[in-house]
Amino acid sequence: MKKWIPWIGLTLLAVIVVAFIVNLLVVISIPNAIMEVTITKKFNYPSNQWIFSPSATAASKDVIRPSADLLYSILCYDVSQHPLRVTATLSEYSSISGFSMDSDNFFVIDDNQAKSNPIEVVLICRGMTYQDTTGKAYVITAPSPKGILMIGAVVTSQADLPNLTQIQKQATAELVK
Amino acid sequence: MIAVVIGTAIGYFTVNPVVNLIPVWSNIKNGPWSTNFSIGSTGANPYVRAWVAENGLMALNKSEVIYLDAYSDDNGNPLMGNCNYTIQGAAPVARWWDITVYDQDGFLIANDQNRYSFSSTDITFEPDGSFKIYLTRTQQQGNWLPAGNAKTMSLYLRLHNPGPAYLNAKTLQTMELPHITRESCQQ
Repeated sequence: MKKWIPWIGLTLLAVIVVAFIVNLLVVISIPNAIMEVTITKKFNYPSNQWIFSPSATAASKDVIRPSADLLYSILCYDVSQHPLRVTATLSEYSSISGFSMDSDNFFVIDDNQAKSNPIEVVLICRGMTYQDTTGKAYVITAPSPKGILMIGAVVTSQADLPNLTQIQKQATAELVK
Repeated sequence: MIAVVIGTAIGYFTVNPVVNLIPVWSNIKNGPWSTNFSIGSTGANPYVRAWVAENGLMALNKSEVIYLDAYSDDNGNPLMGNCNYTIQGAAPVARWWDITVYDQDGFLIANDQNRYSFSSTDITFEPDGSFKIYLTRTQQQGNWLPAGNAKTMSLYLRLHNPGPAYLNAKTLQTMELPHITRESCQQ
């Protein structure tokens, strides 16, 4: 009988270790899986192009807890081959931000912080180099070759919406080849 | 071999409970409101990161926005769609803020007014600078946030460029945040 006790103990320990490792591996994979589904299935936008969305409503189901007070511009970036240069006019209380495939917010610059307006951001991949000759651009290294850029502009009142929509559509994006 | 099979099963089927529990344990709480400073941060642990991906993808880091959520009233009772609530307090110190209500699935609640939130730029303040929001199914005078046909609800307070007191866990835990009071309920 006593011979079995170490075996039971070892088996229990193995179960706990395997459970912990499996749990952690699945948890680590969740953000990547959700970003992949969001980019390829929910958004399904062409890469490196701004998509201008109207304000979220009750019909908006792409993202949990959307803000109804923000006008979103979304760009699914792919900088695996070339740097991406984007420009955007930031209206009051608005920001441009980037999200890597593990869903981390790897940069955010708001209208108060921007060193120029329109703001200029050049997104590069790890290992790439980009020489900014203008001195105005933020050169940012993306942690993953693919991900999402977002501009969120606060809609302060419905009367401002036409003007904000016009500003929103001034955003540009081009691969630097 | 049996240990691997059992361990794999336990590890896999405990993902959701663990993802929901661990971030909650590490949350900063103040009454019904809670937040996690790791939201959107590149320094977030895998469990917080997974929770954010599932519950608020594309959240900005705390330097830009602090997200405070509330699933209950000041007495700890869940926010029910068939109950009437007031949300009131001093205006948060932030460059811009809004309070949004969501249904049980985390989506905006359909209503004839298309009113899903109130913000610092469109709310009507009280003469003393405070604010009061009515979260109810039936129309109210003033800042009315329709509860629509939601079964349960949650509130999200977004603080854009929050004041320094909100960026410190100790002060955030003790400072005055909007009160959520259940006034009455219908059957």
